[in-house]
Amino acid sequence: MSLVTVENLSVEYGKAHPTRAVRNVSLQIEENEFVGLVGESGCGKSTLGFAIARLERPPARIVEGRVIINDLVWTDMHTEDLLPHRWQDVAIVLQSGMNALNPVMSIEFQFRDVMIQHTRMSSKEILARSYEVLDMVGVPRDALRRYPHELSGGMKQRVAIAMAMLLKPQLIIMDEPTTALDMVVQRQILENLKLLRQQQAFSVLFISHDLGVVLELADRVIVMYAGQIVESQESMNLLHQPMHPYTRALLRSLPDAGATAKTFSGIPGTPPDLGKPVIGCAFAPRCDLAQSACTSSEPELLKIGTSQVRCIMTGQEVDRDRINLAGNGANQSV
Amino acid sequence: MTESILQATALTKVFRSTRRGRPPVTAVNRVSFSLSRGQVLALVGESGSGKTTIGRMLTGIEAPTDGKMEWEGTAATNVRVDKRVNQRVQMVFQDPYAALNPFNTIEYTLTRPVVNFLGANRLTASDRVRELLETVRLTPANSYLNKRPHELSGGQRQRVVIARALAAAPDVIIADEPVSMLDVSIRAEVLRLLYDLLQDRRVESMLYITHDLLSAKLLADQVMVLYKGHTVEMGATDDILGDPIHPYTRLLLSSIPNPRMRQSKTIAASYEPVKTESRITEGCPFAPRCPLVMAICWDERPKLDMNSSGRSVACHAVGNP
Repeated sequence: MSLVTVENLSVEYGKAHPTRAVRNVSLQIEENEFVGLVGESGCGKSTLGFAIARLERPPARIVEGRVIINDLVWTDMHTEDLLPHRWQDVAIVLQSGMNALNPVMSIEFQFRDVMIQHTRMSSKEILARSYEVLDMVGVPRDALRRYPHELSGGMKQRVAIAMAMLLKPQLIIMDEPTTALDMVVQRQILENLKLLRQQQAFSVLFISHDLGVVLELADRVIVMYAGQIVESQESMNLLHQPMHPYTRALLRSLPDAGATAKTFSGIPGTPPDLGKPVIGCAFAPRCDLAQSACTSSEPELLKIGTSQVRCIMTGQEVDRDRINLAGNGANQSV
Repeated sequence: MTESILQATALTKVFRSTRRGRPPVTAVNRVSFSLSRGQVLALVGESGSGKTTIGRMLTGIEAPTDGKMEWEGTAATNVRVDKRVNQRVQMVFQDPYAALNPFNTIEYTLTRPVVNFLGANRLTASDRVRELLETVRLTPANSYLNKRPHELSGGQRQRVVIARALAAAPDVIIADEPVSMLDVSIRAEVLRLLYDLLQDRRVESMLYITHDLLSAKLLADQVMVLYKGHTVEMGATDDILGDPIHPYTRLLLSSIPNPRMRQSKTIAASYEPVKTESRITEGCPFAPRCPLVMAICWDERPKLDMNSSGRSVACHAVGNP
């Protein structure tokens, strides 16, 4: 059983004219797996992350589907019943530490608050654990006595990660944790995350618009477009053999240090308005491979080994290649 | 060197705190550079490097505390009152959500500079406005004229901001982190647009302010790397990116996310600042974070030495290139 199982999850904003931000998403996160979730602004990646943690707030609401974490069906539970599991099983790190930390309370107070709510640790144990998590993220111990405004942006973000680690949760959801930071600070946090993953076991759902950052860290990458999963692959496979045209375009839009950078391009056009029904493939209007079949019916999410892709053009082509490779088409069970 | 269009000499900006007892902050410390006609100079650095303040001084938003700015040899002490200079330098801001007046239509936003600087009236300006929208690839132009900023996406808004900067037909565009607030895919589109505008000579010279060395590689001929208000390295873009000399430039380069290099980069981790708040007045500003730090670095500020190929580095440890 996976640590996290999401089944056919859909999330809408508003009631009269609902916008379906997450459309029928199913995914699994295994124990000790680092999963990257990428897509443009408005693709529903943050909405999905919040819904998995059951932190969706009106006007957002889960209209169908289930979220199962540790054999508990989170979507069937009441908010109060979820409280003991927050921080303990699932912790979340938000885009900027400044939004996540309480500005009028010291870091020490906020750390202690989490531990008092969830454990029966003594003051001594609480302090020891506070120091321990600060050491893990490379923040000097005297930061504990400080208030958020006394820390730099990078420090605050690391404190937020430390806070998420306090109760050793099995899953940490990170929503754009390095987006508002400088390159060098981002690098420090990324290296720190890599180190933490070597030292202890926990799963991460890392939400970002920056495929470069995600590919560097994640075991597996899920690409979202217009509220749906369009591709899911192991990182190195995704980098070298992207299947969906959208993933390919995202990779092309990454500036590359080695190549002559003048060859890169963006993705023209804009994502569809999810307030209206999407007919056919949502990416078709921006896709250079699109054919008439793409605009008539919605493509299925094809399973190819451990990978998934939602594209009738490249999906079949990759499918065929792999079957041929698997032994001249003799083995048809895919 | 070709004809210099803009020359900054020992430009300095000191911000004095309004709170008593707080020491003044030197945001820009004796920075000199020259921008030639037809060239793109990138100012690269992290937050607090002074790169934005330099841009704001050149456009007259801030007055320099000390130093000189010259436009084609004419000294400009107060850029703001000089309408001629005002037209010649236009700015593209970082935040496309804040840079446009939400109450004005796109047509009005773009008509103002055409009327103010090019002497057109509102009727004759309309052709020019349509042309501008087409230049930044907001087509068909007519469908954008009556829109207001909230109806546009971030990338579209940034295109409007770029069109507004082009509207005055300036000699120099100062682009302050024009893509850092945008998604990676949209970012590539806007960079591509800036690149094409430069190729087509719609924009002649540009000062490109960024924290992202890779985008500088795409656009700039020359790069100046700033750290805490000081120039630490300067030279041709390919030289700087191909062979960074200053420890800080190396740190910046090694920080770029690179999925093709997944192994841990221990180099960046060793660059942790000893103490972030310590302000060094005497020595090298990078000394507290520098892996090559020597005794002299704490006492004496390294000079920016230029070699014969136009490359300059301010560092005691690596010396003259």
